[in-house]
Amino acid sequence: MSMVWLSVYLAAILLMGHVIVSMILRGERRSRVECAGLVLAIGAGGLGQVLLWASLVGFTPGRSILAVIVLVFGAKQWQLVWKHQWPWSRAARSEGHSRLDGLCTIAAIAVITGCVVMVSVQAIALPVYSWDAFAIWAFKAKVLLRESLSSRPPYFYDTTLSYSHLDYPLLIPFLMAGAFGAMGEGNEHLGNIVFPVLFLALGFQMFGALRWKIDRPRSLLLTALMMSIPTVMNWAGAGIADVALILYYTGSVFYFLKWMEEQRRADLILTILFSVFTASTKNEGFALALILGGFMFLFAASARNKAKLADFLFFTVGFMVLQSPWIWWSRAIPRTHENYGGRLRLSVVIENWDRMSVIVGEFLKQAWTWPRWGGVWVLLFLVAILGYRGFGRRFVVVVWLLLISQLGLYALIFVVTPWDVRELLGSALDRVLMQTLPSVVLLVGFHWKEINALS
Amino acid sequence: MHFDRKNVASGIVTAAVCFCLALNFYLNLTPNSFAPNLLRQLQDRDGLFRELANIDRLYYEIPPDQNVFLSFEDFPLENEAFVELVCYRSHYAAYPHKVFTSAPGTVINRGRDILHAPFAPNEDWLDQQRVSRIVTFAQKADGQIAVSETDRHLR
Repeated sequence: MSMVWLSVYLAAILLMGHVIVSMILRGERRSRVECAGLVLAIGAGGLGQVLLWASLVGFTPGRSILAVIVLVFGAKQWQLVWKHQWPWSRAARSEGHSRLDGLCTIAAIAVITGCVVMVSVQAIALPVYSWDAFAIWAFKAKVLLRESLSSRPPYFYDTTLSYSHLDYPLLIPFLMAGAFGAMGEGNEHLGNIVFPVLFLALGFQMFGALRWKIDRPRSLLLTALMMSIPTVMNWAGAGIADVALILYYTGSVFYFLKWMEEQRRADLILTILFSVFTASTKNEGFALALILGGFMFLFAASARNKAKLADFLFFTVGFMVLQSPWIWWSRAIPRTHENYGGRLRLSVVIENWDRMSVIVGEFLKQAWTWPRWGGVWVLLFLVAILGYRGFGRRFVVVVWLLLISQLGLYALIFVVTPWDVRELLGSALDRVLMQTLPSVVLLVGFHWKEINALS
Repeated sequence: MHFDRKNVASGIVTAAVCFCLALNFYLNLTPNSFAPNLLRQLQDRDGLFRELANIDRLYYEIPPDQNVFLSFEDFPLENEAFVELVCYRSHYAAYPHKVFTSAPGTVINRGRDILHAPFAPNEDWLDQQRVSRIVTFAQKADGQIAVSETDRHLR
């Protein structure tokens, strides 16, 4: 019986994603792979948000909520089918690929499939064993399954549990609690079902983003490259939120670039949704969304165009409206752990500035640790040099600036951290650098395109 | 095919990407990497996760609405990681039962916060918090760790 309800949980993600994407794109057609990424990512993000809102009004994640979601979105989906409203189109058959391209395509698909299978096995067949997974994410999921946010669960105010980051946003715990609730028991193995879904969505999302500028074989190769990076493989099914953060950050960067280049309202709405999901996944996601908003403002202001400024305003209002329930609810949670927002003061930065050499050194050392990253960072510099003409493109420069801002943000966090900086770098730097992969892989693709355009 | 500078650059990048992909493949399969570790974990789940399972077992069959007191005796700071593992896993495994390790209001961000703030509540406090089980981890002089589990009657 619990398997039937687990299917209902997955159906809720798919139906919610498909309906929301169909409504946003409204007659606009995108490739099947891009739509598949959107459906999975927005379906999961949407389900997490709805479970949060339901919890705020007193309902814990469970079968009844999932059944209502499936019924409501199923009815809407039926209506869309009736109107023949589908967001996807068959992609035009690409011509002129060589045998080598065909071989690369097959190899890349095999690697991606292998990665998804292994991550699924890791997530579902093993207990929750990673420290962060049980101390933070799965623990919160257990709390949310039993106590609604409207009841102000004592967990969130218990400073003896401060190590579990009481103030972390709750998208991933709600998705796990949804799976627990569907099965009617705390089955920690199947509670992790959402992680392979998010990992698969990441593959579709990255492929769709790369296809914007480069051909299918190269997009597939780079997608396979990103998904098979050892650090990504290690963490993707381990029950932590970083791969979800990468997924949503990939979406927010890609649709922001598309909006910047093509000025379509649907891309702006997708940027808002992905930014909200990024901010709802981890605290640093909120900072990443603010940085993206800052770039959007700079772009709109420098264009001196009222429509673009109106779009920026729409982004700001949309983001704040969707994010405000959590901001409002979480305001009373004691900030007794890292509290980087509170520590980000000029006096602390100046006092700890001597840490910067350690931080930069560790960043570089980590990037050159082949067993963790393969050659992706070396590849970025190689492709940037050979495809230097990419620096003449606005969207490439913007991604570089986003990457530099992201690295700067993380460096600043390590400067102000109350922890021993070397100890923290040793334990967290691989996950922090993993969060920059969307920008890194997009840049490799964009610079590669410039080389191909020459030849 | 002609070999001009542009074709060479494109070829170099294609080769580099393929090399990186092959390298990832190798790095995920090499001994002590992701795939062999996963295989080992699947083959010997009981053995590899025994430490976690042993902690989880301490919290089986606690009556509803009753809680646990967990204490650490004679642990040096060097063994902080073990204290963290036991404490964090206990909170997770026992929920919805509460596991008390420190006085309410103490900020616990890591193991040393527990070790630096020993807490020895009296019987009245334990009754008020409905603590019906006491779990004690003690490190002996030879470094061995002993665990004891005592059920107590609520007054």
